[in-house]
Amino acid sequence: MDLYRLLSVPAPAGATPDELAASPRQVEMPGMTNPHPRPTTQLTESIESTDEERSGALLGSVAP
Amino acid sequence: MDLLPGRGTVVLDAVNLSDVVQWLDPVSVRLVDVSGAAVSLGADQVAARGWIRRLAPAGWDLGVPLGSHGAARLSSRLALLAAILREPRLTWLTPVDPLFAAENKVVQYRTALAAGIRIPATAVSGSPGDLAMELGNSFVLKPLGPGHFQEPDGSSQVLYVRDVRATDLAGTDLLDTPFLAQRVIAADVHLRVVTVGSRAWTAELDAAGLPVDWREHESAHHTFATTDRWPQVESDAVRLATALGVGYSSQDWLIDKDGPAFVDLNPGGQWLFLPEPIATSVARALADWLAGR
Repeated sequence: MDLYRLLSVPAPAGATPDELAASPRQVEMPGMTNPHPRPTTQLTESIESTDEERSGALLGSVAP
Repeated sequence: MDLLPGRGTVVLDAVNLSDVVQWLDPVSVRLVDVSGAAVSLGADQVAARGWIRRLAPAGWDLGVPLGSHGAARLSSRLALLAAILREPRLTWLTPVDPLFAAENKVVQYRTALAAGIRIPATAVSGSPGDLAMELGNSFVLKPLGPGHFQEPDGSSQVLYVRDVRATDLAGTDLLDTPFLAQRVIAADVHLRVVTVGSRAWTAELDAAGLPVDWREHESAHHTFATTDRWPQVESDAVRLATALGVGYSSQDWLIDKDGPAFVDLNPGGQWLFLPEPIATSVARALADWLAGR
């Protein structure tokens, strides 16, 4: 039995994928320096989480 | 988003490429901003600033087998996103390589130690006996991979940080699925420290009555309180973020009888659950940096 099986418990009822994951990256990036999956640091994230938290790269002001 | 102008602000991830990317060649990139206008990056354009919050929505790849057609599609999207992330005219609050490196707990701890910051005794080993000799008969285990996974029936499993005994691990191959083992620290206070550049904000949570992993208690998520009691921790948190090359961080520290100890850093971690004025102040700091204010 591996440690995930040994130590994991059922997630709270109703927890969404976004609530379970705090990582900005869920899959390996091709062409990148060998990244590692990010451990979740929080199970239940902000209950006020907004759409912008679910977005990716956010670019700031760019001259037209 | 309310803190940034629509004109010139682009929101991009691996899911909305079709709506945002108009053109890319080795010299330039043309994207659609939130106002619907085209903006260009590249040699002839003004440099832009960006913040990598996350590359794709949580769960976007759930159930996609490695090596499948679906995986090939998702990988293609990430490759295009990677090309944009590496556009030399883009300045990132946290560049992509330091971002990835900083997500690794061992890298975090090495950097913290080098900076003279106290950390829990930490090790990875295939021998429960060796871990017990170094860390004590009871220690905590933290995944080096994600802290949750999905079962075939769609239900989810999560991992909380809990005490384990070496005897509990008999017969388990500890390196088949490597976890980090740490000496247990009896926390008096939990701290969540958020850094943006050289600025830091701290919220604290009384650890009394809470398990080792406060996330197990629903109420704990709503009872952090803004504090100014830990200026040295804030200074150390900024130093650590700087040493790791991350312009934004969400850090976990704890306070015990021996003082502060660094526990974890997330270069893309949450802050909006923290009390005001922290939540708004951090958002404003991020927006100000992006807008060059």
